[in-house]
Amino acid sequence: MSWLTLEHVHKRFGDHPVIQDVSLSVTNGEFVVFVGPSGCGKSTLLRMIAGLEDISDGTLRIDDAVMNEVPAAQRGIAMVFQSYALYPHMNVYKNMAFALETARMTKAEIDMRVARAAAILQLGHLLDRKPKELSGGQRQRVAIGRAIVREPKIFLFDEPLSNLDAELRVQMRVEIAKLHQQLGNTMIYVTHDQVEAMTMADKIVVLRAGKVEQIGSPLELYNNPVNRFVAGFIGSPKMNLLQARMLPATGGEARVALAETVLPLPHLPGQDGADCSLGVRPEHLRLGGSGTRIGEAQVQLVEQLGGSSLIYGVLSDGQPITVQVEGQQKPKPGERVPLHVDIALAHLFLPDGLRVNAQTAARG
Amino acid sequence: MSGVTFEAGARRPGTRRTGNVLIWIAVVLGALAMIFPLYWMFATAIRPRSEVFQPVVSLIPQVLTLENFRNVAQRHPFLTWVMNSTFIAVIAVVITVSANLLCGYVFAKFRFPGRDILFFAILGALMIPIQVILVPEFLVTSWLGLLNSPWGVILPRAAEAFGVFMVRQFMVSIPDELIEAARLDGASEMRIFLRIVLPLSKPIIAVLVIFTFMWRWNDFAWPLVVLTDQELFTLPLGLNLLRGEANPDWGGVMALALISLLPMLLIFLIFQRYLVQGIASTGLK
Repeated sequence: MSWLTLEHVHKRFGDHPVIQDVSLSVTNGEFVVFVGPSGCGKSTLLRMIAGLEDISDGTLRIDDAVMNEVPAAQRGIAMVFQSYALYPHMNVYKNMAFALETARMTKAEIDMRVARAAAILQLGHLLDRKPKELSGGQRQRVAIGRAIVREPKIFLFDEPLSNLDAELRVQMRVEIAKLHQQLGNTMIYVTHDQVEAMTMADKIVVLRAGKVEQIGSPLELYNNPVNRFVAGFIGSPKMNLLQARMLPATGGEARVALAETVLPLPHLPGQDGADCSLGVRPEHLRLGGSGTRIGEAQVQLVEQLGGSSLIYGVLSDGQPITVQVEGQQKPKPGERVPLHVDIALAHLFLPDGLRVNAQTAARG
Repeated sequence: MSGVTFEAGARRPGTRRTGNVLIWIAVVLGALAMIFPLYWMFATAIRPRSEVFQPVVSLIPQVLTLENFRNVAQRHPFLTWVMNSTFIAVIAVVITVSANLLCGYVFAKFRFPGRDILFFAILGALMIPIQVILVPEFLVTSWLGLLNSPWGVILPRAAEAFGVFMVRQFMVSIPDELIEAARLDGASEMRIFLRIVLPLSKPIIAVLVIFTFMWRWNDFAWPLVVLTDQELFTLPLGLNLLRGEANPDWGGVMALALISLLPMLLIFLIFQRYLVQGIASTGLK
């Protein structure tokens, strides 16, 4: 069964490093998402796995075999491109059959595989159409069909939904997730959209500037981001990262000064006097009630989403803060509201961006 | 349309219509100017010799005759010339278009050291007029023993810098992802070229075929240098021979010119569909 590992993989274009020391292992059947801002190297990494880009340094193994020098076609991989890359002069059937014809399969075998893929993707009635006669969602499905017919060990998706409108994107997201359940293949999926990453992935790889920031399950990343970047990138709306100052610890507990309030952080070990950021997710904040009071916000704008409301405000020292509350609360702009949080859900980040937790404190 | 003055304001619908009419008149005049020599060639070819040299020549032939065609065919190896021209043009199209497509594809889609320098060298070759290289090219052709042979006309002109340039510019617009997708689909480089790149290049192939055929068919200076036997002459050389006679038979010259025009017309009619199609459907997404 197939396994994919990257060991200390580097990619350089000339002197310019694009991928730096990426190590990663993917188990068979896993749905892995590479996520990061544009230009972080996630597509390049995917193309290196596909064999479309050389690996400057390091080792790529699939199923224990080193793949660095193996041509793309022989890696047992199929890829769905961002632009779909359907052959414009061939109809849907020909598009899907091309790889099989290239592999010199019998006509009967080709017919069977194409029919099966078309059934899975509901493309049966479109087999005679040319790509230009299809809608965006249909083209997307043909691109996936072209990958399926080859029965690859590993599917690669390069931002496959970015050309679709919002509604179709949600629909295709569900379809791809279902397809993964149905086929059980390993899939590696590149996106810049953290919602896609959170909803689809078994494992998320967060990349920034060619380096891995964190690897973990969606909830691990959400609950325990290792640094400020991951904390800010994962989760929607974004985590509030509030400037604060650490105060001298009392009794081993950390204390921070945020705006006019001093907050004890009993779940974190103390550390002296540096600037830091306090990370609090908007959905963890409440207007009053139980929990630790972290201060007061002046409401600037309220967005009603129906099931919940987003409140944008500023703290007394002018820092912006976002609060997400259940239901249809509607504080008026200008109103001052108290903010409470279960302090155990708050994170503390040092100036270098790393999160303070029991381990880092023990080392430091 | 009289009475409309320019001061009347450009937004009045009447002004716009007047503008259109003026453009139409200009276009029609231009077209007439272009077509008239062709018509005159046609008219001269089908009127009897006696009518050509009248002091006042009518625009429309009074008597229609095929006598000029018959005369040319009897007095000159005109069918041989047609065959020679056809052979040279067709073989040249096959060789040149194939070479251009392969070469342009490599320049457009492969990265290799020295690529840009090579490409600019080819572009540079485009700037050199044939008169400059006529003598050295003649010497090389002579050294190769290709003088007075159709291959001496075909081969030195086989690699056409302009064609390489056009193909390269066209193929740059074929998305890399298509080629990468085919590569992932297991296709060899040759299969990618034949099955993916070529079918998408129909418009540029049409342009190349038309241009190359036209150039080789109409080529005069180089065949004149290479070919000496009348039996090996191409149509333009034959025309020149006829024209150079002491008492040129203008009806015959025009008949021959008319015939030499037909294949061009045919080629254009066949390939113009692809030309238009190609221009209309360039978008991929």
